[in-house]
Amino acid sequence: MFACLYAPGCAKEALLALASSFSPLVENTARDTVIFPIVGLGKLIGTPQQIAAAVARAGDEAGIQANLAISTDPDTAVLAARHLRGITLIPPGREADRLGALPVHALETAPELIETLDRWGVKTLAELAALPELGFIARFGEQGARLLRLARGETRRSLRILDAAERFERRLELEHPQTLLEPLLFLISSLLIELMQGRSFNRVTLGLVLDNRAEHHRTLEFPVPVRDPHVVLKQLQFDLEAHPPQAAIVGIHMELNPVAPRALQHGLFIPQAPAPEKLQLTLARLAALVGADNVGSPELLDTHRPDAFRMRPFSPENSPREKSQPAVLRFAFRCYRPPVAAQVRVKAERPASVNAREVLTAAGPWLGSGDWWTSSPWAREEWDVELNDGGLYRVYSASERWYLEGMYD
Amino acid sequence: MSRELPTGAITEISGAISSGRTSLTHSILAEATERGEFCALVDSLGAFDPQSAAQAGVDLRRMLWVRSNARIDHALKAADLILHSGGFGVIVLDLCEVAVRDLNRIPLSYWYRFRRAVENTPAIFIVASQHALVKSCARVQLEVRRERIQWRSLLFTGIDSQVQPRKLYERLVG
Repeated sequence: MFACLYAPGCAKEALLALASSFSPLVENTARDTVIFPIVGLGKLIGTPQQIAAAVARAGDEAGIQANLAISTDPDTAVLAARHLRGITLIPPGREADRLGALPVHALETAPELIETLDRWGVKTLAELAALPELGFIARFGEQGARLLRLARGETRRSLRILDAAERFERRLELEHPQTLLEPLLFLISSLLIELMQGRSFNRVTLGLVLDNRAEHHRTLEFPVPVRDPHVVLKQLQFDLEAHPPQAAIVGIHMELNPVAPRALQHGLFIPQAPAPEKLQLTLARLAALVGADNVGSPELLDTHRPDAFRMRPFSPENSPREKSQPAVLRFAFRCYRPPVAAQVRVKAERPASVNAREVLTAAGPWLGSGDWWTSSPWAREEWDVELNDGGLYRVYSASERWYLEGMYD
Repeated sequence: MSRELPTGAITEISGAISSGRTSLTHSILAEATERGEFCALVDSLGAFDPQSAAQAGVDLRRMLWVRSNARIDHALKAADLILHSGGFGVIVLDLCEVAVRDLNRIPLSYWYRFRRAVENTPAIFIVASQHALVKSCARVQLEVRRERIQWRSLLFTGIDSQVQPRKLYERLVG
């Protein structure tokens, strides 16, 4: 037996909550319609009449105005709930009788088919159910067969159960405030092992409830799905070492975001690449060692401003191999960051010495400017100079001061 | 050039300032990324210039850049972590322009550790510096010498360098 609730104008969540309070198996048929089985409720509540009364009572308490229909066929229950007001109980075998008075327009099907039935003079489901089955199916095919089954209350389909999104989260209240990292990691490790169990995740959110009632939240995003709890634990350790909570910890909340596992086909002739999970751990260790800003892949910015680049996370997964541009430069440059202030003696409008070292050859000036339309414009005069120490440097003058920008090597 | 360097061993590149050490390193990185390999550069002084590396043909997306902000101990540890991580075709430890005093303080055990970490791997580990440091732990030692700076009508156009092998292994000689 199935019960169908039809409540136009009611919030979908409230309707689902009402149905879920009677059965864990709920089909979310439409925005205003839900179906759930009542077979198991016999021993708990009683007869279908008593179950219907209990559902109606619960609906009244929740403030839901709904039609309720109970039938052995879910589609019959839907039709009855949508077109018969109040509570409708359809005994087994009486589906066609109870639905017979409904107009054929009650069936959700193609308008052309309804129009054809109208032209034939078929107005009600009872008249439709009385039509010869073979001839009707020969004219309308599978769609016609379904309509006949609906009109006769014989669909007998299974419910499309609403699969509630599983949440991977755990909370842990500590008996004593925890101040040391190692015991805390032990507790986090047990939560991780309990939650992961071979599944893949791409985000971990760790919430630490502090003794001073504040909360310390940390979120780690992984570029590729991870399924090894030890990898996640190590990264959480590095993160907590870099961002320690400001008070003792009295509770832990952990939530993981599940994703499909990574599937990758390696090739025999593809050059080796770092293993993703191992690489993530290495990058986390490197970030803990030298700072997260100092680890990554450089990306050049689309500007003429000197030394314009940004660091982006190093991710072999997102670095497709592309044909590189042919090399055009025959010398490399080494930057001084930040540029070093230099004492430059100018003679005949050319640098004659840099930091008391004689300039042997100088090429320039190369004038550059940009971003004058922004709040941080730049303008400079560059020189390539060979000094008597053997080095070939780039110096520039900006705002009437000289700087050593780097060295050609 | 990088095809001639031994895998699973340390290659040392040394040379004076403006001799072309960095240009040689960039060309090795460019060849490796061209082959589709991933590379790592541990930059002890943060002197790497992405612009000139890109112009030399290095695919920056396939390169991990680690800046240790003049902390030599951090640079050595970072190189060690990357070596043990595996999967990189070329790993460069750039110690150029580091003060000789700091270079001399690097414990010799690090070079043995690096040699042990890189052997039996398909990676090329390059140490670039002003002076030869790695000594017996390096399979190949290359010294870069500047021959001349090319000027054309007072326009700097390049550096002519000569790579002088100080220590070779059989394949490079052959």
